[in-house]
Amino acid sequence: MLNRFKPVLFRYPLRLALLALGSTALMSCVSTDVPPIEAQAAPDDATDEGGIWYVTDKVEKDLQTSAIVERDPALNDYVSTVACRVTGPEYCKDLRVYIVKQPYFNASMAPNGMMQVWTGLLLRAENEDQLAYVLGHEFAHYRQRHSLKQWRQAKNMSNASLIFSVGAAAAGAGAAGVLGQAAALARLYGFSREAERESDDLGFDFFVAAGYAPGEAARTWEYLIAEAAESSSRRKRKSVARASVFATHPVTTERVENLQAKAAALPAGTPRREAFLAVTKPFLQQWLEQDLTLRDFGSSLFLTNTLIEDGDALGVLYFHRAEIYRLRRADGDNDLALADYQTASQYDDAPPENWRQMGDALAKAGKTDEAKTAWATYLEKAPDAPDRLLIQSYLDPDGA
Amino acid sequence: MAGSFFTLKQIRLLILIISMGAVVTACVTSSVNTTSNSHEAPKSGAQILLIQPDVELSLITASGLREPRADWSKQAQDLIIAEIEKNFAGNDHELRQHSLNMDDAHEVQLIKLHEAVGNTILLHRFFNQPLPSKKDKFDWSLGPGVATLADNYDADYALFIFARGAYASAARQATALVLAVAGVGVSTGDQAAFASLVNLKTGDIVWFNVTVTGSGVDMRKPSGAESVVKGLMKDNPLTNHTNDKAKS
Repeated sequence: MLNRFKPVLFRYPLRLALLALGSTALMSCVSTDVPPIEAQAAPDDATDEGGIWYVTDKVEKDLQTSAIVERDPALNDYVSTVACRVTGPEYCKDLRVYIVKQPYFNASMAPNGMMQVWTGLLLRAENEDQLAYVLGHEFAHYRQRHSLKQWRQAKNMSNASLIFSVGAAAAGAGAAGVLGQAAALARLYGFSREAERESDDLGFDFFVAAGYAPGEAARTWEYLIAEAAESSSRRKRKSVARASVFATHPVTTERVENLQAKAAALPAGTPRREAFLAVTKPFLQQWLEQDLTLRDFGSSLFLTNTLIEDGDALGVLYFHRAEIYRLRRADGDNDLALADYQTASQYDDAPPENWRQMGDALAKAGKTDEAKTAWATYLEKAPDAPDRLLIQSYLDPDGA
Repeated sequence: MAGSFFTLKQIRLLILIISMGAVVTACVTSSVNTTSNSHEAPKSGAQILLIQPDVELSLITASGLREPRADWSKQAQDLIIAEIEKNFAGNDHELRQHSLNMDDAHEVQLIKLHEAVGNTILLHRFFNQPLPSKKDKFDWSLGPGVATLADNYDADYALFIFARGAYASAARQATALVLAVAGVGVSTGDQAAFASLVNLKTGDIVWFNVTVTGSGVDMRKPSGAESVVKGLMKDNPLTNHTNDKAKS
């Protein structure tokens, strides 16, 4: 046989190719078993982690200069203080908390210590304890270096799926190559849940150690599941949501039960509500308005009703519920809106616009005189209203 | 075992592919655009702010994931700055390095605006999506608002550099070689950069250049950074007077 004089490399190219590929990919397999990051530590520049930090530092610089960040000093001090209570003094310096004006319930943790807390979360948390639990959960992602683990996992998986797809193609099963990729994705998804579970457990421990009421951890998720069930979006009701916390933090009954069971074994404690309300109250109306821009009337109503039950800031809340009805425009919504504008008008914290909108609703209902009284009250309460001339023309159509 | 060894023809083809790759990837290509707005040539002694270059280099893993590397990025950033400075040495303009003053909201917005405009130019000028309104002209501008930069820093021009590069790991090179044997071509690295010169009086982008190199040029090394910057600074109105005169 002529073949036997050929170098071995050329004798079985396909098998050798696969073998070589397999060994290079396996050699580049990196350990995903990383120890927790030390306090005030930064990775070496020449490592994968150093690269991840380099890129996230740039993202953070962009965020720092973005208009999407809420810069109110009192609110920022408060949220950062709560974060430090949960992380302890050493790690406190490693985290930088940014409050981001986004109407969804979410928080995120970047590998370099950049934490984002979205205003939709602050709007829905009932007390400091619920906020603290989420911050503890996010801090656990940082401390356990979940991003690095995830990146290495992705790297190893994609190397393995490369072997698989080339192997499958070589075996004449070209279409099966896709399977390798799907398997890689499924494994990544599983990893992410594992990380979530670890963050649930550790976050819970951090938050309990900081003296917060253990039962509040599960309550946050219970509320979110209940709100999603009332959503006007069928997709959100079904899948419990896109572009929300559920996309990255899949909530399962198992996770909620896990937190409930942990809390049941501990003394209940008292949630801290006063300080939380004092610092978030000035933003309530603004955050509710942002929530309404999503035009998910079902979940906005559920949220507003929950807040009304809590019994604070009722002027703002009844006005807001009236606005939801006004924008929803279903049969009978004008009457519902009018009733809420009227209820709101009995509270000192109702915003001046409440009377303008009440005037509009009264006019729609054919009650012209009452409408004029409401519009006049609006102008009294907001003498510098930008729409003053317009409202005056309603009061005095002949311009007399 | 038919097909279990290479024919001479296959080996020749393989050698051709590999050698072609080596030739093609060692080159540096540039694409220069100059403003079509009326523009005075830079006066001698012009003050130029070199905005801290945005450099990001990555490692290509065996399967083709790009893993950012901080050490390479910082190294290349230093080398690029050194090469740009070399470019201006012995020239009558003055180049000064400038890092963004994060406390100046207006300055931050200007830098972000440049990023947006630069990316728009890239997309519509170089990635085959021409804008009908920009046909036969290059009149991109950040607007006269940039004058605050001129005033604050007593400068005439701002020079922006943006560079990206990716380099194959040993495993990736092995993969590429092995897959080439199986007849599959995969990327083993590339580098691209753009530079933009803004007139700080008018806001006009007076010169804009894109440079692409193959894997044969490595900007982590001084020689590679030199080639990239040479390609990048091609025909710029500040350090290429002689070229301009020769052309006109």
